[in-house]
Amino acid sequence: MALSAFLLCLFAGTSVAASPAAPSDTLPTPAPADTSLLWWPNGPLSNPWTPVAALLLPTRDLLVADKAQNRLYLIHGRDTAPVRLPEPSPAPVEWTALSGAPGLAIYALDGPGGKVHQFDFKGNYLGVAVDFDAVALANGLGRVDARGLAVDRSGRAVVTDRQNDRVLLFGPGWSFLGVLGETGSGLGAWRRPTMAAASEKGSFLVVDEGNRRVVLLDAVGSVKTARSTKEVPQGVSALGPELFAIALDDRVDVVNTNLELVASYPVPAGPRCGGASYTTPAVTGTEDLILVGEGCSGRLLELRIRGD
Amino acid sequence: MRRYLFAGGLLAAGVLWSVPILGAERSSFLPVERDTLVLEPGKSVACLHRPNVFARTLDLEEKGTHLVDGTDYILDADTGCFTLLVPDSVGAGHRIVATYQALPLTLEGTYRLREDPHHRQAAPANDPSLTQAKPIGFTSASDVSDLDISGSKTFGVEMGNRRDLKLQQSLDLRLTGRVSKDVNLLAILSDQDLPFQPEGNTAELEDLDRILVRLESPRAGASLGDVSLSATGLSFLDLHREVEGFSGNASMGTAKAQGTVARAKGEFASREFFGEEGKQGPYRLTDRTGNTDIVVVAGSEKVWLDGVLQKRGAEEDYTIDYTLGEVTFTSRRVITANSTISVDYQYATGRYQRQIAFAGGEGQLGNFGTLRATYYSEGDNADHPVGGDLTQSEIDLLAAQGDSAQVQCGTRYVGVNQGDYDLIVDAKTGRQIYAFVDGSGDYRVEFVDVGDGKGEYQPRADSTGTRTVYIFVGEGNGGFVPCRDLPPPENRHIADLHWETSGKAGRVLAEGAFSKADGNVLSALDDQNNHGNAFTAGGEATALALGKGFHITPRFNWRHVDEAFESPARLRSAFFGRDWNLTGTEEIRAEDLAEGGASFAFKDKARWTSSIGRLALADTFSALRQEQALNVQTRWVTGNAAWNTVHEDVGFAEGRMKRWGGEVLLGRFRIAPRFRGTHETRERPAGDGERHRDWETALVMPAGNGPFRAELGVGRRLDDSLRTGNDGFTQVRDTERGFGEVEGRWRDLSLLMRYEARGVEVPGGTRERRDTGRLDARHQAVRGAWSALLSMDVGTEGLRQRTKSIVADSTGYFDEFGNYVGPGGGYDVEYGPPGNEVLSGRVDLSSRFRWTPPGEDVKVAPWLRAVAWEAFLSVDESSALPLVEPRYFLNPGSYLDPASTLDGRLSLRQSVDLFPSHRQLGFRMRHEIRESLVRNASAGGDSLVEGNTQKTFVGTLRSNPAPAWDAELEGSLGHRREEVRTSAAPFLQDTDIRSGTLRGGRRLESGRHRGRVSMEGTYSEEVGEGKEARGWILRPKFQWSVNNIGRLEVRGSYTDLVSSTGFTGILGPGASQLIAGWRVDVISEVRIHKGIVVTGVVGSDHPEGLAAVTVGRMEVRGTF
Repeated sequence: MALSAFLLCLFAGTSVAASPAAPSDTLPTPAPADTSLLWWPNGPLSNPWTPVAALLLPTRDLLVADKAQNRLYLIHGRDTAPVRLPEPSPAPVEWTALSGAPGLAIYALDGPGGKVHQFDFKGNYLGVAVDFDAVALANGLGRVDARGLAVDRSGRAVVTDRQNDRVLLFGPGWSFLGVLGETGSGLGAWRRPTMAAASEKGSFLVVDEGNRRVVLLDAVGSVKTARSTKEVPQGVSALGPELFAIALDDRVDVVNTNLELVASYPVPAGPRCGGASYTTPAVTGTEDLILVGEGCSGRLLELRIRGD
Repeated sequence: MRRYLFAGGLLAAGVLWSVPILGAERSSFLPVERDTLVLEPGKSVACLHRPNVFARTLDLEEKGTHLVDGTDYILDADTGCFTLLVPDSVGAGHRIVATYQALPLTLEGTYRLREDPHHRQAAPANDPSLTQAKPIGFTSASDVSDLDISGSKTFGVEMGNRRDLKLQQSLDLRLTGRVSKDVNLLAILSDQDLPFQPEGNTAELEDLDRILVRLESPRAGASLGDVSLSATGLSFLDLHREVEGFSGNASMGTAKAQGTVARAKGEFASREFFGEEGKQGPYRLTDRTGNTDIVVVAGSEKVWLDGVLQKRGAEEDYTIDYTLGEVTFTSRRVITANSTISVDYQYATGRYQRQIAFAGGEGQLGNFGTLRATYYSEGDNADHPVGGDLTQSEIDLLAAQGDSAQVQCGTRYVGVNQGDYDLIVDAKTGRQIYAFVDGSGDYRVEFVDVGDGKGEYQPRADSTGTRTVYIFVGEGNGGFVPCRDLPPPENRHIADLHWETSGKAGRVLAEGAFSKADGNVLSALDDQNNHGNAFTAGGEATALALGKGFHITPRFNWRHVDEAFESPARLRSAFFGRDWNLTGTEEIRAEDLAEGGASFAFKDKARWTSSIGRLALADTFSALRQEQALNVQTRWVTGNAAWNTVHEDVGFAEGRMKRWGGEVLLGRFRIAPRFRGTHETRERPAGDGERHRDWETALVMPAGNGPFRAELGVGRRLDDSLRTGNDGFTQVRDTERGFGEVEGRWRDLSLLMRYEARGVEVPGGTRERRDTGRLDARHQAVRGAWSALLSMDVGTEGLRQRTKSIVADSTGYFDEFGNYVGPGGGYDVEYGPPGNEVLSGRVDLSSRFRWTPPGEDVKVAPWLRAVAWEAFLSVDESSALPLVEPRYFLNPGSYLDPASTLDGRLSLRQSVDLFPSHRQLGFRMRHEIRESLVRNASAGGDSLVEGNTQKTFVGTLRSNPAPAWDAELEGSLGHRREEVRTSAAPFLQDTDIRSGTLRGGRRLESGRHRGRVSMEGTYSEEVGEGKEARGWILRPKFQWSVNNIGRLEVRGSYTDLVSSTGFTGILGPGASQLIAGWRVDVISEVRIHKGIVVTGVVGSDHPEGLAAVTVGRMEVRGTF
């Protein structure tokens, strides 16, 4: 408690001056070439979000985990009001990641609580899919600080353990398959792994925050390649079977399965933010559109890419 | 159900296929397609872009010349291809423009090249890697068609030396994309044979969705699975339902049609009630019998407060717990004893499967307006009651009763050895049979006489001869059956016809509805009152100019609702009766309502509305009502005022209501004064009544005058009561309030602060505080690298506690602090039923702070880059004090105070990284506090107070001395205090927790091969008074992988944890030796084909003194 108070005072004087944003109520509209920009949700929010994770469902509904209020919202369309999903239990949860799941289900990771909760496409709560405390006890893993979650279509899952610099690998049905990596900077080692994404082809992209890179794991869990970034990668998402999106400070990079850059889209400032835009870990989408969280405005920005 | 599905399919097919029937020539309902076709030299066959072409609509044009069917070309209408008979004389090929009409649904795919849209984006000029970007090529289905087919299939087998063989499989199949130019498809088929742990009673596993199909086109759509059914704009059938089944819709020009056949997820209910003074919630919803043990269908609810529809959400108006059926209002909506709350919802029913059929159509009648016809049917399927089919005797039992049939029995599961009967299953027939076991069974069973030869049980005297027991004798051999609750199956049909037209003169509408509702479809009794009807008509003239800026708008409304009319939807606005001097919660039937009035407006600045109406209910009640309302909006003043009276006539008695009030905002000033006041008097025919006087004044700083919107004000409300036989009103409540609100954003800081202090005084009592408030402050900077949040909610909520006792029991499974520790714990825990609801003050406080070093292009102090920090604090506290004062919620020291706390939890967690990006050396500190305090209600004596506090501090030193080597040293110190207080001597246990870990490893890398060898050793101990546990663990590990081929992991552990007797801490119940032994796990994964991976896992556990356990699993996983 004392440490918190001390550091709070410490930062209070240093952080304010970083981004002088001119208040403005108008939605910024200049769009990068070949894209159109839309803000989610369209209507006013009584409280801005800090979207920490987002998941575009096959039904085109959007699931958003809001860190500011620590809640899950389902949005049926950009112009509709977000619907808050029920809390799983009286115990407090803190949502840190979202992932699709086999069938008509969605996984939501409560990182500090060490549980993955399951919902259906309508937002109905279905139960606890896995409790990492039980997994850790059975396999001698110690305390797990789960931060990122990615599940492929067969139910194979990757969970990042941020505090312990490792990645946990699970098979279908949450059968524990092992631990990948340790603290370090070599390929296969991690420094604070955070968000993760699964492609339809079974590979996983993991953010290695401390080493400032993203690492691609193949379908058997071995490291395939990595891509270094100048900034700290905030979040990742698969865009269809062949592409990944990487949310960086103020832009979204699109890479292919060899992690080669395919395109780069700047993230403009949101409402009331002047030029002070920055991405949050929430990123999701398809080949034709990317949704990324914009932290200053507390909304999601839709980059609709004009393709065919 | 199948019948409905079939009917639905026919409906959809009829809608879709009715189009070509209409199209002998070009149809106005179908779009005209226009294709430009280029035939290469020498080619004479070309295909239009759509098949199923209407031949008579086709027009082929080449260089301005229209080709003739049969002479210039021959068309195959089914495929859409034609053969040119015109010779290619110059050898340059043909360029033909075709216009035609075709069936709107085209199920053949169109194949074309697809450009990767991302390749169009210009790369950053300074990014050389973009120049190496390669085209994606034709590697997926989406590259060659618009229909993506993907999925996965797994097979697994699991075996072990102490378990049976177990097979597992799963399938996930997904189709998405366009099946034709205008038709989009989404289909998901899922078959998951994978276990997961259900929580609560939200859903049964077998009820989970397995299939979803959605077909959409501009003119038609269809869905299978979970669908929402809604019909709005009707007076007697304003529906919204969440259902499972088939739904289709189509539109053709101005005509629209919609149909649904489905199974209801729940039963519709509507509840209206008053709030409790100062209680924000929870307010429990009930089923039709008043039972509160219900599950509300998610998203099905609509909530009105004081007649205003509310929004769900913690930042909006209310939250709802679907599993408990509880509604709680946020601090935005302060609840008083006069708040009118109305809720429409669906709840999961335990009666019968309920089937729904819906069909609706709407069409334009030229200049005669719009006609809309709707039919809705909702009925229980008597063949499928929840909990087993009805026997013939049960059907006869229900048939003998009328619509009010309700057979309730005491047949219940009552707990182990608490009943006289056991439920056994006949191994041959699978039939469930109740067997008499005299006091050692789990069921209490009641039997009902259905006549000789119709039952399966016969009565006998028990061994003492004092009781009658029932023995199973076989179907048809007895005269009794086990009695169970038998709600009568019911159904309801309603047809509605709505006509509306509007023009220059105004708008007129008429609507009629007919209903048939049977409360027991198995009984012919009471069926004479099943039919009902309802009619309404209304109109409003266009504003008529009277000159000099004045306008008049007359209107009228008439409605008749039969006494037997039943609708599955809400017929009247929330608390409709309050406007007619009724209580508002009564059921209204046999209604005749007539209203008329006019509005006089002056230049949009002022509007006076005058209306008069009469309401009659079943010849027993009639009332006349008049209302005068004035609205003013000018630069200086915005306001409204209203005066209305009701004169009520019930037999020989009369009642009356008077209400007047208004609100004024002087908006010319930067800080605008606002005044509001109401006065309401109700005197009912029975001689009772009530009176409310309410005023409020505030200073308002509207949005736009600065970064924040603010309001500050005070108010008072006096509630008086008139009792029968008394001449005057007497005061029952005096409520004073002060409130303030600030909301807005300044630079990177957003702030929401709202507080309302309420003091409530009743005659003879003391003034009680019922405060509500919310604080939300957020700050983000340095592109999100720094973020801080502080939020707090204050309110008063109802709390239902259970009694809990920890009792000594040598065979118990719990320790003296109520922790489950397994056999030999020495104590047992006994819970009582949920107690009565008590109002309790409630505080929710949470704060989060995070700092992560941003990218190099962000300017921050260099030393800040050497620190990463994350902190989280959460307090959730219910206090026995209904009074929530600022000094209480702003002082964290008062939280978890045993003197007042009912249920409090505090959780603090923070971690600091030093040199987070330094590659050779890093240091991390983690600090955690978890604290809880629960005061368990007591049925009689002293309450049981349980406290638990655990504090932990962990430091980790990490090092990569060389890229291939890593090492880590971690130390942990902690303290745990457990305390249980009762009237007897309190239990108290202090435990110190210490541990140290050293781990290190070496990486191996060569080409595509990567590996690592590592070792970890941990020593830990827990020491308490008279109890201790200590031990160590060694964990060697070897990993090896080949990129894209496979990987192998072998890990082992050797554990030796020892405890002295009696310790019941985290290591387990008291035993001289807790865990000792070794374990080996081998995991391998091999990719045998592009999309196929084989996984093998073997684990062998050898605990000391126990039999070894070996488990193996092999799994094949394919993705496509």
